[in-house]
Amino acid sequence: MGFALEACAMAIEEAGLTKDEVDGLLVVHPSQQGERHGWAGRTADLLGISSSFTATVDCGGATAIALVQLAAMAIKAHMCTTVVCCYGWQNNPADVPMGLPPGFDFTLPYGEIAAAPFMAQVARRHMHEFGTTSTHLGTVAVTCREHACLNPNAQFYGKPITIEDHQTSPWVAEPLRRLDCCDWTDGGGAVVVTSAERARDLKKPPVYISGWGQAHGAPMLRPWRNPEISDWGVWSAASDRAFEMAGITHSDIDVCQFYDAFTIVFLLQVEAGGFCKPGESGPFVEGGRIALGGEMPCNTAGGLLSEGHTMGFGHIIEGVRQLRGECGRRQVKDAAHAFITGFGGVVNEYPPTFSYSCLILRR
Amino acid sequence: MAFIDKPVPSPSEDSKPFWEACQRQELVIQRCQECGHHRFPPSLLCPRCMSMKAAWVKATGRATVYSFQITHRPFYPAWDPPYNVAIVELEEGPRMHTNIVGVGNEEIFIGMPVKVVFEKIEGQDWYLPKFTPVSPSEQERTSP
Repeated sequence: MGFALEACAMAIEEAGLTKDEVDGLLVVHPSQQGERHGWAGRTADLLGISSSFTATVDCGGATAIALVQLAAMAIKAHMCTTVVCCYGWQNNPADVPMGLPPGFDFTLPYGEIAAAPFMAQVARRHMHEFGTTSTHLGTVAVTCREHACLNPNAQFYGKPITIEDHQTSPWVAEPLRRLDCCDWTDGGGAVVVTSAERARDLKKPPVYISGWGQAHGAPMLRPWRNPEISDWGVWSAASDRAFEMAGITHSDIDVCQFYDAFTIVFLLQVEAGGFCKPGESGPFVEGGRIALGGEMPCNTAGGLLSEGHTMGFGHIIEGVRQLRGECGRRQVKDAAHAFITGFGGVVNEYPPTFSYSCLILRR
Repeated sequence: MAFIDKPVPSPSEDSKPFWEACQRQELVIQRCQECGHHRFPPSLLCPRCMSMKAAWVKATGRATVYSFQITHRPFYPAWDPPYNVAIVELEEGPRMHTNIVGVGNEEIFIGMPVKVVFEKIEGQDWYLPKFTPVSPSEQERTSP
């Protein structure tokens, strides 16, 4: 909880607001922590915020963006005027064994638990269908690390890696290696959402929400139809709507922040975003395209893989900072439009389900 | 050796018939009595037509490997790595997690024809449906 409170205080202060001007609070459901109910209301109370709109939301890694979308909707619907969206997360200490939640009957008895092994199933299928390679995955890991080395706040600042490091890092769940997986991160994040009118005279230059989308479903094990993994139509349709709403095309995007809890997730996000055809994300990331200075700089703060697992808040915050021109050595020149995604997987309970959310921001 | 008991299923109201059949070494899935859709996991209603009328039917037990992973770093210390976990597609359509047994991890491939076998969870009184490769002669017999 402390991380969430600290992040909220920082965000309210950076916006040039006082807490009395905040009347909405949205929180990511802390799914693995003890306090399971009423999280948003309690967070508001501990911040001393009198709110007319709160919710605790759970769609995994897609939640951060979903909160921003909900906040904007609530403001438009006159439920409230200014919303803080936040999360806080503290992992169990390493010597405390992970408890086994009930309801994992169809995965756990076989020895599959947590996200990495399931995403390894997805990676294996992607490799089989499209010829995606471990080197493609490695390119994502190395690029994120290069960017993190330009971000003093990153968990892996000052710890560069090479493609050889990736290729020799041990298997976690083959075909995923240790460097295909993000590390655990204790932390918090917060974003303030308000109306364009209210934002105009605040301390920081406003960043506008210009497009969004969401999609939910279970490729791999969808119980009511069984599309191949290449059938990302449901995700890319959500992205298409976001672009339509923003009135721009992919070539207008200056910087992307793709959800990357695993390297394979990054590739799926590139496809879901419609930046390449389904199955072509492996070759897409080659040749420096996704690096700073490339055609489509991505995950410029290092992403979940190298900045830290901030449940997607890092991606939103970095998108905002890029559009404000605050990123120093990792600044994308004249960035005017950012595309950001979130991706949540609930993969131990059946059927394993994914949520996708996307956001287009502009200066 | 793994140093902790292997977890066992904890059947819900919906999944109880599935697990009871497993203990008789039978693989059963639900078939919608309105639209004929086979579904897994067990559920109250048909995700295709929303009918609540369903029958438990015996699956043929034939399947193909849809994907698989080899776990080297288990998140729970009940298994000795490396071991495989696969997703197989049943002949009836649904997909499910399982282990591929009777074959080395390096020999498993996507598209591999497999059939159900029941194995006891080590040290527990529970049968789990697992899958093992179909021999070439069996394949000839079963393919049209």
